[in-house]
Amino acid sequence: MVKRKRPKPRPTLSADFKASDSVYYRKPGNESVVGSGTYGKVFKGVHVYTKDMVALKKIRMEGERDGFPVTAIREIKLLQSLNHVNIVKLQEVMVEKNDCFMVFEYLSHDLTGLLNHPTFKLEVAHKKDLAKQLFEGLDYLHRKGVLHRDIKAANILVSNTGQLKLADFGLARFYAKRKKLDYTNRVITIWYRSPELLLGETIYGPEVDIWSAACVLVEIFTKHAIFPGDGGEINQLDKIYNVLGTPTMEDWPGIRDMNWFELLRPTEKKLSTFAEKYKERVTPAAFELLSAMFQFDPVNRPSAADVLEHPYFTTEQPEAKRAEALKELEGDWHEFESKALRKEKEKQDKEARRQAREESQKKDGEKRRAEAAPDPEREAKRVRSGGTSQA
Amino acid sequence: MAASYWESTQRKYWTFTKQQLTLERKKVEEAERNLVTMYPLPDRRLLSIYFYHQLSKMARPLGIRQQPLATAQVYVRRFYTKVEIRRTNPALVLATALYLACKMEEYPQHIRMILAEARHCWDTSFNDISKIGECEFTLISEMNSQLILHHPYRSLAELQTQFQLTQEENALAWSIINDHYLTDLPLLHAPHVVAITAMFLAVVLKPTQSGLPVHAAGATNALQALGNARNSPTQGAQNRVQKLVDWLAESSVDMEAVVECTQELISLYEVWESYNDKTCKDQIAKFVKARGLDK
Repeated sequence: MVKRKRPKPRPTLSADFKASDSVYYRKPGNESVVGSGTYGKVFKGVHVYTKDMVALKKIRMEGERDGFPVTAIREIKLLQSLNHVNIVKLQEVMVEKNDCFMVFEYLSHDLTGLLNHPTFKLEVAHKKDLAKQLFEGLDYLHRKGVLHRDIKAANILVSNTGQLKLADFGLARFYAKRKKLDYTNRVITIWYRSPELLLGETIYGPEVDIWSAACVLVEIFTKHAIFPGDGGEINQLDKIYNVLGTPTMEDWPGIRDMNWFELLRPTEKKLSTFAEKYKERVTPAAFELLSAMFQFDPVNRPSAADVLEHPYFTTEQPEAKRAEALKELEGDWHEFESKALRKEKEKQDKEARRQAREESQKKDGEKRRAEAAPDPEREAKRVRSGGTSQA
Repeated sequence: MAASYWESTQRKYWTFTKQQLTLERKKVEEAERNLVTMYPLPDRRLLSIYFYHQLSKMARPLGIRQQPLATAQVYVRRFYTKVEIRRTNPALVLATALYLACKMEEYPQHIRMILAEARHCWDTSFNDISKIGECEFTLISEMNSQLILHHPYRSLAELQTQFQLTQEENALAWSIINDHYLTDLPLLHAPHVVAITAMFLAVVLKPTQSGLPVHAAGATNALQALGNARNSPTQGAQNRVQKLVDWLAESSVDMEAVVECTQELISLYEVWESYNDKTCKDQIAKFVKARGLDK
């Protein structure tokens, strides 16, 4: 006898979920925004049946005269052809009413948010694990012939189990491994842009991602961006020269051939202050690794595979350990939230300063004002986010 | 393309069995039974030939190469397995497919140029780029934004070095691959199977002065040789063919599939004889005009 299957109970949905325009419910208005940039907005959503969390990246169509944006086409194409634990997964592309969304798995944090967290601290072993995953992801990309071209802390997502994933492939593209081809140099958020790109190079390869990754590594170690420029190319080069010194012909024989070399020639010779600034702040092997990656001449920079073989990862103690403590971390920490938090803090600081001033008029306590001053270098970041070109 | 075919959406979602494909199309036609009976259309392959002519007409002045053209053809074929053709304006669908294919294959064209070429070769009345934008959106969503295609050309390039094909053989195989986009084969078989079939046909049929279309007699021989490949290899009469047949017999290539591809191609060449540009054009124009789809 054939057993009749008992039908599954019909799922019931809450009123909010029922009203959702698609299977991915998101809170109305700006409440669900977890990121925004030149590309558009990213929302946090939840699948109304499975309750799985997703990140919904809205593809901006307004004002597009050339139909579906070619950058979105590229991003979809790249993500569909990639499959790696350290690369964010594109689950589907969804049309809701007249909007198009890319649906990603949801990760609670990004590196910027995590590093700026007011109380949470990463251990040395955790930092190493994040660094390792970063380069494993990068190694996979480069093996597949993909340049990311926008590696920065805010584009690196971290799950609440310490799993790291590279995201935002809006500027990425396939590159010719054997031939050297011309690409645009208007890529990569300027703080993370390598000197050859700043000097106008248009024939480049995976070395540009390595430079960016090295910048991220410094942030993982010290919480601070190493080259926080004001958003302009000249100032950015200055920031680099201030730390690494001005490049010599020996360091970088190809520098003369850079398009804008004559234009942006440094006016004075500077010596490297890198060791002085960073040697004490990181472990010896980590310092060695950073020095190797911050080479002016791109050909001297190690590949992602080389980096993974470095003693920092292979021999130096402690070994990499997954940051499992992230499970206990309350809330979601992205660049977006930490920006909001910062704004909120600035407001409070202002208030605090005002009160302090009033108080200081009574007493003579000037000290508190200095403490409460907002961090000026973080401000520049907002200017910079408009600086990435979509070409 | 860096990704492998085996994990592709092409293999997972856009490769069908013949039965599945027939069923899909039946479903689409059933839903529009009235339209289908009111406006008869020529054989699908003949329509495909017509579409191909129109696409190349648009592509030539823009310098668009074969690969984006092939991609556009597959997009059109996929789209029309899900949407009844009589509900669309084929001119718009073709222009849009070409536009999208160019974006996808990193050969971007300006939307105005595509529109201008489309108007030029269809003498149609859609004259708004937003139409193409709209249609592109529909195309992408009907294909579930699964836009990456793996073409047989790459496999052919690998086979060419392995078997040291002559220039003529390679050119013939290449054009056979071009022809397979006029059939359902891109929705039925893996690109390497098509490439092997094309190479096999090219070697067996020998590029002769007569060129294409291929003679039916030669094709029958080819089929026979393929049949033998599954039995014991016969005496080494035709050296080159023998080597290929041996290789095929030993390889794990799905021979049934190769035979099916061969038959499909041969029957294409037979149908081609009855191709008439005007019939296709008129029959399409009939439903487009009657239903005001060009507005």
